[in-house]
This record gives sequence, structure tokens and C-alpha cells, in this order.
Amino acid sequence: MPCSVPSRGRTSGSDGRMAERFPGTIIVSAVNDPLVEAAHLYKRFDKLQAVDDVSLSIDPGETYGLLGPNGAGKTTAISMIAGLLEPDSGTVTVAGTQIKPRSTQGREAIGLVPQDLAIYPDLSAEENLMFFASLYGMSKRDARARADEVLEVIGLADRRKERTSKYSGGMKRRLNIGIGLLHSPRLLILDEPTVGVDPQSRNAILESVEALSGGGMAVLYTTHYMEEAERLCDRIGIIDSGRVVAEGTTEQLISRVGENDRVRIEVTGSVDAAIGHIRDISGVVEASTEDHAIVVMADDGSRHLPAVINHLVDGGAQVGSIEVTRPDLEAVFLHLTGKALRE
Amino acid sequence: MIAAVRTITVKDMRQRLRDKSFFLVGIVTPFVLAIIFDLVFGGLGGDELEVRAGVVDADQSEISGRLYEGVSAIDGEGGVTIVTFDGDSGTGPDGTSDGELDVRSAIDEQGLDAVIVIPEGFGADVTSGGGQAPRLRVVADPDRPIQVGIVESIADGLVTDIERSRLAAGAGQQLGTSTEPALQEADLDLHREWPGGEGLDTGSRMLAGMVVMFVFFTVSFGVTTLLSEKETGTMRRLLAAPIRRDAILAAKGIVSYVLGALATVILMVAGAVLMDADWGPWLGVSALVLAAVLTAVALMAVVAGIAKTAEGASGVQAIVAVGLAMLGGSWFPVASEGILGVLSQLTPHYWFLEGLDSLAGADSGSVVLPHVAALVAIAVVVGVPATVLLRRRLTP
Repeated sequence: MPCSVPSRGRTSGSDGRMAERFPGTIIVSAVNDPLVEAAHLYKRFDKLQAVDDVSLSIDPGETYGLLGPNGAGKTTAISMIAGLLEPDSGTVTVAGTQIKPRSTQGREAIGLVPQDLAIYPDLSAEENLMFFASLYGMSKRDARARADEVLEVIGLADRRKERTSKYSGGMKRRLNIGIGLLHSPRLLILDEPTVGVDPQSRNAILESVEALSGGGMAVLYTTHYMEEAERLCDRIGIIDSGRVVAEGTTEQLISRVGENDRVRIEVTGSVDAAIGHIRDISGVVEASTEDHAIVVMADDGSRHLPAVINHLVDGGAQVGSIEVTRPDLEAVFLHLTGKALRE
Repeated sequence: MIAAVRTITVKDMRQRLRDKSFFLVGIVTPFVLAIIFDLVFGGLGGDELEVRAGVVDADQSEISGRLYEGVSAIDGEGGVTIVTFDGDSGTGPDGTSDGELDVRSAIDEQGLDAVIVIPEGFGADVTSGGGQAPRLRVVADPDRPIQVGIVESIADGLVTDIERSRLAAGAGQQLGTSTEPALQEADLDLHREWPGGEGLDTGSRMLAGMVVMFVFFTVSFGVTTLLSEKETGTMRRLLAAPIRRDAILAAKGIVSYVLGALATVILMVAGAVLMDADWGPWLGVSALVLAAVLTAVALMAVVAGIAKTAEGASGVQAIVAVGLAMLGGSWFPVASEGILGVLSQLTPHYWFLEGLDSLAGADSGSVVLPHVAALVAIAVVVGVPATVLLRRRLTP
């Protein structure tokens, strides 16, 4: 089984970025066994079936994304995986240990970064880190050394003594993640870590997560931002109404749905003469008009674009801006659930 | 588990001691309020409360005469001045409205707090052994509520003793014995009713009342953080950590208890040093304080266990703290009889104040054992459901 050893000053991660950004994290070995296995999780709150038969597995070094709108059941699912909530039925195993809310077994393997800023505002960053390090059984010396490392990583070393109530939102977010990393967990669970974050801090957070997975840590990442899921996640589970409706890589998910490219061309002049010819092009599924533009759905938008433009020009229209949109997770979600991701 | 409890306790203590509200609400406010109350309602420090009362015998019977003499004999004891009026002279009342006006004039002219009126027929009521119970009337100066309360307590005590004697005589007659109702000298023992007597002096009692009221606010800081941690999200972190959930609960309880005991001790030491308060044997005082704080923690924990939010809990806790304080005698002495008396005895404030009253001037701290036992009993009765309720709060 793989295991992590905190703070020994060397790394064996597959990606050198991990050594740079999180020098205390060492993944000693990696085998093919999944690090996380959640099987048939169910959770009901009164009349709401919050989680409905969710199963997933995550390998060491893999970043798994749970993508779904607010209220889809993401937080409930990860709460059960982190051992915070008792499932109505189903099991969770992390690093070979079954996780149960009333047991402390296996908790050291999990780092949790809640969606809320789960830090104490009247304590300094250093005090926050030392407190949680102590809860995870680290000695004072190890805790201080690890806190120093994490403070460097999250860029708060020079403001370590300041009460966190004086921090900016971005700084608090970074500390929130830093606490989750403190004990060098083998699984890091990030629950929508970029909600309410400015673009600069968001990018820094995403880079950090990329570095973590590169270093061998398994990451379970929940979000309702499809761009984040596409950028970070090796595999994605699309969750809606408590059920994982599809799972796979971004490419697998898109191909599974089989959506067409969407070509939108702004035009001036009449397109009536051209639109019939465009519909006749082989590979074009649909062509329609929309607010001084023509929208063409085709299996390969870029390939058919010259022919479409030729028909428009021949028909007397003048072509303006052109936009080709490939199918994305948003479209997949729409296709699978019949609603937009951010509804 | 012990390590986790210690870690959370140290963290919470650090937070609370940094929070100025602990010092403000736990120490400064009760101390300042006690001084203000003492200035308003009585002398500072060990000064006794001065009471000027009058007594009128409108009955002129043998029994009323003995009562009249008995009340008159209190003059000069425990800060009480008794002014006597002759019931036949026309300056005293006879139960008519004109009489009341005379008494009111006497109150104004002679600066009396209240006048005890022995009405006509009092002696006959006492010797009847049945029928109408004998009654005393108290005409009061409404601007002197504390002093009037003391005079009323004297009158209540006298009537109770007389009524007991009268009922015993009545029962004796039914059984064929010939016991005569009597008014004994011992019936006029006023010391047990008296705040300025062997018990606590006025200033100390005011401070003790504020101490036991505000300790409820102080301990509430500790238990309410359980809800705050849920609201801020840190509870999720605590629950995710490799620690037993009961460790969180235990730490919150310990923090509440330590803060409450700390604030109480500081206030009582300050009272002893700055107000010359004589609390009595320190062993008894310590036992009383520790038991009272335990009860306060249990009661505030129940509220925290029921409330949905920290803000809601704080509101209810304030109502409970003030309500119990008023009922338990923290603000003013509460009647020891009737429904109010029973309700008062259900509050920790009552047992704490009564315990301190017993300790003041006592030779041994053991006199407070019944009070400590009552406080611990309340703590256990309330603490068990509180623990169950709070454990349900240990969710993300």
C-alpha cells in the first residue's frame, strides 16, 4: 500500500513541482490499488435524497472532480468520504481503512479543505496551523517545522503572527488550504475552494492543486465551475440530484454525449439564400439564424467553416466575427440533466 | 482523548482571554453593577442597611400589647429604629382611611420607611383558635422598597408564628386539651430574616448576587462556541481530525467551567479586598463557588443544545440568566414562601446566596453542605440532558 511520511526533507513524487511547492510531502510508493473507494453511498435528509447510490474510486496521484450545480449532493458525498457524516448505507475506504464517523481510524490519511473559511479569525496563521497540527498528533517540533513549510508554500510566512481577521479573502483561502495540507495527507478533499475568490487567487489555488496531484497526492475536488474541472481533473464525475450520472475523462464524457461543434458567424445582409445551401453541406446537422448571426451545428465545425463562409458570401452577406465552440462539460451536463450547470 | 481535550481547551481559552468581552461581561460589569446597586440601595462595604419603622397598637388587647412591646424591643438592633405610636392618642390608625392618612403623615414627618399596624380585633382573632386569621397591616413609603421589604418580612414572620400558635391552640381544643394561644418572646427572632445581621452585609450581598448572575453569561461563552464552530465551518475540521468527538464536548465544558470559576474567584477576591466583604470560611466558599459554576455550565449547555444558532443561544441564555437571577434573589430578596418561594428554591442563585449568607460569620465551611448538595443536584439533573443535546450538535 502507498503511504506518506510528513516532513523528512526529500520527495519521491513523479512531478518535480511537488518538491518545490510542498517539500514536506513524500509519497513513498504508488501501486495500482485505488486510494479511495466509496461504494454505494446513500444519504437522506428528511424528504431529500441528498446522495443516491454514489460510488467512486480515486488512485494515488489522481485528481478526481465532482462536478455539479449547487445542491447536487457534492458536499454531502465528500462529507461521508471524509468521515463527517454517517451514510445511510454504503462504505468508504481510504488507504485500506474503512472510514466511520465515530471512529478515528484512517483520519490521518485525509486532509479536508471545507468550502467555508474554516479558520479561527482571532488566532494568527501560525496558531491556526499549530492547533490543527496538534490535533493530528504531531509533536510540537514537527508541527512547527511543518507549519513553517506550509506558511512558505501559501505565501504567508511574513505575516504568520498576524491575526487572520486582518487577512484578505485570498490570504484566508490560502490558509484554509494550507491547514488541509498540514499533516501531509494522502487524500486531499477540496470542497469548492475557489468560491468567492478573485481571479488572481483562484489561479494560484488551481496551480497549487495541480502541483499536489503531480506530487502523488490524491485529490478529490468538488466544483460547479466546469473550467476548473476540465483544467484540474484526471477524471470527472458529474453529479446531479445526488446521483453520479456520468464519469470519465473530459474527452470520454464529451464523446459519450456526442455533441456537435457550434459555429456562430455574425453577418450583415440577408442569409436567406445561403442558409439552404449550408444545410445541404455534408456533416452540418443544423443551421439557424439568431440576432444578426447564423448558428451552424456540425460534427467538425472548423472543417466545414470555409464552405459555410463561401455560401454566405455568394448569397450577398458580409461576414463579421466567427466563433467555433467545441462541446464542453457544460454541454454534457445540459445533455445529461436537461439543465444548465449553474442553475 | 486527553491530548485532544487539552489542545482544544488551550485554544479556546486563548481565544476567550483575548476576547475583551470575557473581562467586560465576566468581571467588570458585575463589579461595577454591585457597587452601583450598593450605592443606590444601601451603604457601601460593611455598613448596615438603616431601617426606620413604626408600630401602632390599634387593638389595645393583651396579646396586641405583647406584640407591640416585642416589636418595640427590636429598636436599635441590626440597624433598625422603631418608633412607637399610641393607638389611643389619635395619631395612630385604627383601620379606617382616616387612620391611614395619619400614618402616612407620620411616615412623611418622621422619615419612616414603614409602619406596622396592629389592627382592632387582632387579639380576638388570635384567641379564637379558628375563623379569621389574625393580620398585621404595613403602611409603606413607596420610595424605600428595600427597607419596606425588610419591615414586611418582620411582619410576615410575626404573623406566621402567631398563626402557628393559634392553629395549635385550635387543634388542642378539638382534642380536649386547654392550650391557650400565646405569643412568645422567641417569636420575635428577627436575625434569620436580616441581610445586615449575621449573614452577608448589603454590599457583599449585592456583589454576590451580581457574581452568580453574571457567571451564567461568562460560562455561556464557552458552550456557545460549539455553535459558532458549526457556523464558521471549523467544526467540519474538528470532526475530520483523528480525535474522538466527545473530546470536543469535554473541552467546551472545561473552558466554560474554568472561565466561570476564574471570573467568580476574581470578583469575590476583589469584593473581599475592595469592599471588605467577609465571605466566611474559604473552604466552604470554594465548594459553593465550584458547585454554582457547575450548575451554570449545565444550564447554559441546555440552551446551547436546543438553540439553532450561536446568536439565538446567546439571546435565550441572557433571558435565562436574568430571569433566574431575579427569581433566585440576585437583585432583591425574594419571598421564601408560596409559589414564588418554591420557584426561587429551584434556582442555583438561591442556593448560592443562601449558602454565602450561612457562611458569613460561620465557624466552619460545613454549614454550606446542604447548599452545595442542592447545587450539585441541579447540575446533575440539568447536565445529563444537556450532554445528550450537545452531542447531537457534533455534526458538520
